[in-house]
Amino acid sequence: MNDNDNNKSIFVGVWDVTKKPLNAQDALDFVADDINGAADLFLGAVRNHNMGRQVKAVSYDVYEELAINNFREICEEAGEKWGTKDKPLRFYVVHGKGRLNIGGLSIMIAVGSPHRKESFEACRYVIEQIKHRSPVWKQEHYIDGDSDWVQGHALCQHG
Amino acid sequence: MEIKLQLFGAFRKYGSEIILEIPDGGLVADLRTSLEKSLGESSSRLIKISRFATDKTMLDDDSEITSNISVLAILPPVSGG
Repeated sequence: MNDNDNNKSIFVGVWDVTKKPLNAQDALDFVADDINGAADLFLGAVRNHNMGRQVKAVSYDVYEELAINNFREICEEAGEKWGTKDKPLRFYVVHGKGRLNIGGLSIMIAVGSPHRKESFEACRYVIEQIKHRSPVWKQEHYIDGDSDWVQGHALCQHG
Repeated sequence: MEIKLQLFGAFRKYGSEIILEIPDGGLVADLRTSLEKSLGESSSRLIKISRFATDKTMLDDDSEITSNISVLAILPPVSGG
């Protein structure tokens, strides 16, 4: 699922990465622009351990419609912080759903900007905000056969 | 009024959705209470630290559930990335 008709400087999506793996070149191609001299790429991958337990795979559950809106909102925030109206940053954000084995890519974020500082900082902002605010859940599968949902970050209410 | 509540993450053990009844003009807080009654004490802590949402935005407990809303979701603590 993606929703990218209205704003051509931002691409956001969620899809089953077991059927369509994430492709870094797609992300870098999207954020490239004649005014951009920099691109920053963040990849999240499944690692083989967490909290002292040996992990063999992770399943990702995503509330797709809300996640798409949320990713776009986060990119717009980063665009306001580090971009300008005549030189907008370009963003590519895709989160995977489905079950991934060790080394599988779960998230890909690319940011293009005229100079490197903005793309580094905006990319860092996007991944940190997604980790704290986006409706995505990890279920870890351990080598002993057990599975558990990662405890995660509670979504704060306003006021 | 009847609300279809979509379930994600740690709530998936109860299925992909659950139907709850709340008073007409009720608040998100009423939905939280209704869910606690439905799922029982073993999920009480998880329900307390979770948040409700539409497919477009997250809701606070004092938000009214207007008559045009029939589907909501409960979001346990998130762990994306």
